[in-house]
Amino acid sequence: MRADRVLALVLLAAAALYLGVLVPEVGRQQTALGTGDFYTVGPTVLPVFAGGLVVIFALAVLATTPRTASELQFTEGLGGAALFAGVVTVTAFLMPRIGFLPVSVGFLAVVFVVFRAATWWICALLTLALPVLLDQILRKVFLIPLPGAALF
Amino acid sequence: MDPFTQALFAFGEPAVFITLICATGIGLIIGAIPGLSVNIAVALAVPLTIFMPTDQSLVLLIGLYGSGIFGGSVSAILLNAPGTPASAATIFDGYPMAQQGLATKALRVSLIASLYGAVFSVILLVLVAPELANFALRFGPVEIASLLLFTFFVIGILSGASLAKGLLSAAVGMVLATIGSDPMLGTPRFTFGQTSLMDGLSYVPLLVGLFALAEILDESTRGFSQSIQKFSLDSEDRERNRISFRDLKFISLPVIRASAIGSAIGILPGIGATIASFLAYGDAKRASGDGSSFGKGDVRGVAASESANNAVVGATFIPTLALGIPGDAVTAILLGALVLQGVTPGPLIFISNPQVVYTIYLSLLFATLLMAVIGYFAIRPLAMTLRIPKIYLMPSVALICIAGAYVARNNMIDVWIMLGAGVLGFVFNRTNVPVAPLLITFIITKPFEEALRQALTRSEGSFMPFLTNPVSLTLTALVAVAFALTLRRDLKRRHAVPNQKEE
Repeated sequence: MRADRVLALVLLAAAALYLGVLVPEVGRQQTALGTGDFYTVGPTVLPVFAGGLVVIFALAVLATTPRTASELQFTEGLGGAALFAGVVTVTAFLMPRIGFLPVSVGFLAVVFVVFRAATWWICALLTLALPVLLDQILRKVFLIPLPGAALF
Repeated sequence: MDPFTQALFAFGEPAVFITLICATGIGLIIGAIPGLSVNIAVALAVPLTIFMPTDQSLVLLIGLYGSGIFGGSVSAILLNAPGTPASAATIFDGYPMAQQGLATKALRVSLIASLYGAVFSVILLVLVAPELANFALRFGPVEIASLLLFTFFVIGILSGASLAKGLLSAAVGMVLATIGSDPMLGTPRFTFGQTSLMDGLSYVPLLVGLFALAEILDESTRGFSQSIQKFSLDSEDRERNRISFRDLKFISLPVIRASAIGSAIGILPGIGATIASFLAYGDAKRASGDGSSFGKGDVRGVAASESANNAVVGATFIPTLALGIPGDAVTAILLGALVLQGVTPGPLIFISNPQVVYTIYLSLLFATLLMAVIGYFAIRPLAMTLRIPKIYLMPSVALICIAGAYVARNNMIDVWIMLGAGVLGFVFNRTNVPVAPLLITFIITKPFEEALRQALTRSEGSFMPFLTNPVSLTLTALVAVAFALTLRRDLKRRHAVPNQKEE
């Protein structure tokens, strides 16, 4: 099946969950809070409208796209993207735990190794200098501390 | 001191002036590197603007936007790969010129055309935006809600190759915008008990993910190229690459026509510079009579494409400033950045914050002039940046994305939002679903909901004011026409594919 049809089906299922479960929950919350008597339209109007539009246009995508596979396969090179997204996920998970500096050094090192960067000294320079540079610019110029570095 | 003088004097401040120079230079470099678009540059700069004064933040973002589009022509001409999608039409004649040893001439023609297009659209912006805002000041909630819904449909219909996909993207943007507190009553919606979601999905990580991380993920599918691009400007004949008065005369008419086309496209929300440059290129080819030289290194092709895509820049600010409706993805980002600064774009901005309006005018103008100076004298060093292999560039940009998403609110949830948006943007890109409608709709949904509910509250839930209002009816008719024309185009295309297969 073509990837755009799969996307439309996923969005259709998500819209069904949104309209069937999440939006009624907002309506119940509104009733519990005791608001909405004055306003003739409550907080569920727009979510219902938006969810309805997703359903209509997802069905339109299903109706208008052919069933045959497209020329560019969606899965082409997907492993690389999944790997990179995985490294970013691990980085985001570890950042509040061990701090920005060690985790970003690790992030760059892993990406350069996994994607086989050719020139080791450029990799080493970037891996060590960029996180420190970013941290110092944000900390000193913009006064924003990134998550604390427990190991440094 | 009047607002114009105040805005002008702000450029005399060292911090603002240095920011303008840096933004223009960085915009040229990022625009030139294939894979790093203007959207990425502006998206990555937004987190920094939160901590800057309004004038400095505007100068930074507009400097990047203004120069980035021209930067895209450098790689289009030298490498046959556009640095930004807006420069795709520049390839047709720019690259053949480079192969004939006329790369410097092509780059200079591109620069002159970009300068003309940009200045043309800035003049149009100065003339049209206040008038449009003046007209929009008469709008009440019914007209505002109708106009924003019109924008939703127009960007959905016109922004992509497929009608259904463009509208689906816009609808997803609207759903995402419903997360957070309801704007009228404060009822929490889809926050799952998370306090950090009460204000809704944060705009900065969303756009960093949708534009920057999505592009990096796309590059990772190709394993991040390690190759160094090869080209040389050293062997060129200087005499042949000089721009003569005859050349200027030759390109003058296509440049004027293309600037008008680019500006007209820029005013319409959601279409963008890429379509403008293709339309202008087609127009220049038709207007030339004998179009046989096009595609083989005709300077008019380069000039038309580049003046059109740069003319979009100033024109996109017309709906953004006058109506609060972003003209394209970058102005959507700028609109969000203005809101972060506490400035609400829309017709009232001309009354409440005239200094901001003048700062935008002047930033566009000064960034364009600076782009011309830097672009003219630094074409060779600029071309050198094309040699940076992506294996070093992209992971570094990804790290900046992570830090940029975090600093927006000092909250890890924003890094997760950025990651989610990046994956969504990547999937959208791979399935040819345009991302710009999602972002633009995400931004306009909150004011749309406010206006809609105000209107319905006043009419006690009746939709009659929408059905009898002349502005609503006119906009509905325009949407119906756009919808019918696009549907016809889509159906024609669908019939053409089986016919081609049969042949």
